[in-house]
Amino acid sequence: MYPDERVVRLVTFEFVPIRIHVRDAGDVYSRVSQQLNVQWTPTVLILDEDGIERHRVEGFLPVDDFLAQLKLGLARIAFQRGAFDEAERRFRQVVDEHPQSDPAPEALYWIGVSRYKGQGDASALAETARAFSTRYTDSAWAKKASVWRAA
Amino acid sequence: MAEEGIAWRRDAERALGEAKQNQKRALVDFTAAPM
Repeated sequence: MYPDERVVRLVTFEFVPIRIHVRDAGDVYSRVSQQLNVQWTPTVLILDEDGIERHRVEGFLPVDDFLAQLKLGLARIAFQRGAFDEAERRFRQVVDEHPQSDPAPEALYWIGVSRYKGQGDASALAETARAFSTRYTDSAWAKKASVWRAA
Repeated sequence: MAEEGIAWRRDAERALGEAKQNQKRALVDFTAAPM
């Protein structure tokens, strides 16, 4: 395990951090993993302010990808509550700060959707489709955005 | 995903309840890593 100051800062600032170990005394692990439908370790869940799961990471990730996943989860929480400006800003952080990470193409897609929903600006979708013509061209998210080329 | 320096709450059920009651986002790490 690797201590990383960026992870410590982000987790400490944004979340109540809760750890459950398979060997925890009693049957806490069994109860909570069943309650939250966790079947494997490591699994990291991001719960919103109402305790609803908004993002799930299963399996080990290197630091950059892990940070990107945490930021993607925060963006999804903002999106879900209709805070589209915040969501756009947070999705953009994923792309700008972790451009090589796995969640970056997904975040690029949702930047366009967030702007469209926040500002009613359909050109945001066409812009996003154009962005995918030069970045993450082989990703599933580029395919999904391709329908917006004529928007 | 264990990270030294994070003040992990180990009283999971209480912490989950408090986070919800106080309207705080929670990061829940299920792990089998050596502690």
